[in-house]
Amino acid sequence: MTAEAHPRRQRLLRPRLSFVTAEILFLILSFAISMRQISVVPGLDVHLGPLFYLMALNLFGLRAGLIAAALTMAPSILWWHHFMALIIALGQVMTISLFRSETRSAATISFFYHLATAGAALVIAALTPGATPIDALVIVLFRKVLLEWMLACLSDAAMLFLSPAEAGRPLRLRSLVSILGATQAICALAIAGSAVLMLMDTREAVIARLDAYRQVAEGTIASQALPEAAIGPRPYRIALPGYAIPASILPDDAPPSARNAACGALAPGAGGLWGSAGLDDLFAACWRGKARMADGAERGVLISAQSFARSLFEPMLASSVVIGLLVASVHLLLALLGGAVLAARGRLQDMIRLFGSDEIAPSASESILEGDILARAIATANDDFLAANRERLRLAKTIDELRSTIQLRLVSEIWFDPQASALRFVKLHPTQGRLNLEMSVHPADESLLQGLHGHNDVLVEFRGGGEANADWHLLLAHEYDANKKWWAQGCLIQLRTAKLVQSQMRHNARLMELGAMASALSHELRQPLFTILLAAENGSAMLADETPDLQALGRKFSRIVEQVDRASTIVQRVSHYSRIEHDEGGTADARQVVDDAVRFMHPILEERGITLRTHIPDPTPSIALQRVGIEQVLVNALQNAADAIEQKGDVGAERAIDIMVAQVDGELRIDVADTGAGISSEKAARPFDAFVTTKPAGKGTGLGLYICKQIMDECGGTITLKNKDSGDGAVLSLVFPGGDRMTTEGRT
Amino acid sequence: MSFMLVIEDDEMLREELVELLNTWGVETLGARCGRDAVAIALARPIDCVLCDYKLRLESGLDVLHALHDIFRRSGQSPRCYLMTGHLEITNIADEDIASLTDGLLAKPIQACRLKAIAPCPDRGKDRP
Repeated sequence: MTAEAHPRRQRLLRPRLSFVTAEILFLILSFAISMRQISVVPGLDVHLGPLFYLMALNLFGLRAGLIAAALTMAPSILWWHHFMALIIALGQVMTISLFRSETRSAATISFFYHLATAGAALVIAALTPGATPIDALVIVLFRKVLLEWMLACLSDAAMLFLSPAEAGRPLRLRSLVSILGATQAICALAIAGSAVLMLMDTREAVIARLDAYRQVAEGTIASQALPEAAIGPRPYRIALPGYAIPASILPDDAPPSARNAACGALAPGAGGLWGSAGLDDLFAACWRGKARMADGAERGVLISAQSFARSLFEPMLASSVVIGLLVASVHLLLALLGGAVLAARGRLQDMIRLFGSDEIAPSASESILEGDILARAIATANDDFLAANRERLRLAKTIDELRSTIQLRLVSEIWFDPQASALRFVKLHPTQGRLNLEMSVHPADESLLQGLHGHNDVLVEFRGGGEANADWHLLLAHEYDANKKWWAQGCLIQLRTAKLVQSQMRHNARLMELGAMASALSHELRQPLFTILLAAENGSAMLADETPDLQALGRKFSRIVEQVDRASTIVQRVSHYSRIEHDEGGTADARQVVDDAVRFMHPILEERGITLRTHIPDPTPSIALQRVGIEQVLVNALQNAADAIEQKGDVGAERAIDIMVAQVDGELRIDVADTGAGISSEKAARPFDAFVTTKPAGKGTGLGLYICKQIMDECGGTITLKNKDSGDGAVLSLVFPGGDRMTTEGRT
Repeated sequence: MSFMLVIEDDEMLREELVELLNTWGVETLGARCGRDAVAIALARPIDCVLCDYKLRLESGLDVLHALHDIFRRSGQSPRCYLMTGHLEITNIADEDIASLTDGLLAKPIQACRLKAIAPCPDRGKDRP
């Protein structure tokens, strides 16, 4: 099999190998570097093993940490001939792994761990008889604590930049840094740095003292022995440049063996201060030298290693104690800070979790200023959110109400099935999934929907079902697929309420038109009433005669009846025009509709001296529309024409309106032409916009032609308004589709 | 005998008015338009004119203007009334109407009101 045949396996193996490889390489490197100790001063060596096993623990986990501890601390067995350093290292790794948390860094745990082990060692040393002085032991152990702690600090600092290795992702730079971890590492590094500087000063002092003594031992300089009350039966202090060390004067009769007792380790050129001897051996030894006595004679002196060590590391002990206290205090403070930060973070997390509820309030026990600021900001944001949410809910409720009112449905795969006279579509139901639905379409709207196929974007109103009072719907469909012959998506809106409002608006418009005609209607009605009154008076006068002329009296009554009929016709006409619109369906005779509109407008036309001429072909076409709707369009057209003639105001000009009905290319066309002022170019641009009128204030609502356009759109017809080519007046043209078909239906 | 001229384009209304006024003893003639009215005014003296405010082809005020010219030249000063079915006109204060007429009457005019303005022989007795 080729490697290409298993790309997936290759991908899975590569990260694993990378992780293992990185781990092994790190361990090898750690072991190699840890083979040597770095000598800072005699007696103060630095071993980098702890740095590597702590980094191994941080980067690769407990197993790698333990292996690294074992590897890097193994050389100490050769150096010191015991396993304590290795055991302490393994214990340190285990302890860190057990107790490390967000508030307790590896440096913190290491510090207190080594402090505890050093304390235990001190107790054991104090209880065990030996030559090693406690203060020297303190220095040694405390040096160990500080060194281990500094290395742990370095390890923590390194982890600020490196992320723990994972199976799929070996070593990589860290992209997210914990503020708490960074604070701990930075503080520890700062203290460690300070400690190093302080110890470096001390190191200089130690080296200077050691050098001075070496010169005494080598006889390069002569030292002066001074009496020292606190030391031995013959207490002296040997004055060296810068300091003095306690010493004993060798008696003259001291045997040579005593003179040379155990001083070989400290002899010049013996290989270091401590050589390879144990602590007790070293501290039990003496150092032989010479000193000039007060009388000028030179005498041999014995210097105790214990005393020498005490005096040598005295300044370092003082510095170390100060540093130790500082480190302990800082770690305690960091632990307290960490606790407070975690508590604040927990409270913030709770606030964020509860965001959106009214349970959020900034805690009075907040101890972190930044946390307090954040908590207050979150509380304020929550208040704002709650207010916005209340508004959103109010809007959502309104939308729900609106949606339930208009019954909005989002649908897809929409097409009109002419066989079933139904609109078919798919609706995705939240629980039932894909639902194939259909909506039956009113017969009058079938051709309308059929004719829409092929158009990419569709917006059309149609009636559902076959009932006369069927609800109206609005279909918005997009993305017509020519292959599948459907629209990919769209929505259906039930227009029951909108239609009602529309109908009401038209009715109101008719009432407003009636209001505008009130004066003419009033006059028209008062004429027959006055005639009736006069005829009745004349009839009464006739009856008062002794021999009334019965025939003349009969004519009076006939005239009264005739005038009553005339008044009734006017009243009927008004009530007919002002009736509430209902979807009557069926067809209307074009002549009848035109005659009704003309009769209604007659008083105004007559009053204004306008001649009306109608040109209607025989046989009369029919229109498949609501009679009220067409009549309203025609009345509005006649009203506008009469107003335009009045507006022109040319006394000598012809004042006439022509209504021409014709069938052209299967369509029914009605033109209303006038001899008025025509339409302005401004009005001609958008003549059917709502609230646009050129009539004087109070004369026009600006809704007449807008409503006419709506009515014509509803029936699939068109309405246009333009000036005559001759320039004297305008022509309003109404075109109704399928006029020939409707004519046949109208006859039947 | 007093003479009254009625100018009204509605034929039936004009006939009934003329008949009623004649019944009341007022010699009355009816005119369909301004031209007929002027012809009558030129032919004989007139005591009272009752004119429709809005005639089919012209304004009643224009007709009264023409009649007033005739009356002025002949030294007559007959009472003139306008009548109308447009109620809003009866509520407006028009200087022209005020200067040319003795009143604007709203149709239908009650018989007693008509008798009050007509130069009836027994007018003083029946006047409201």
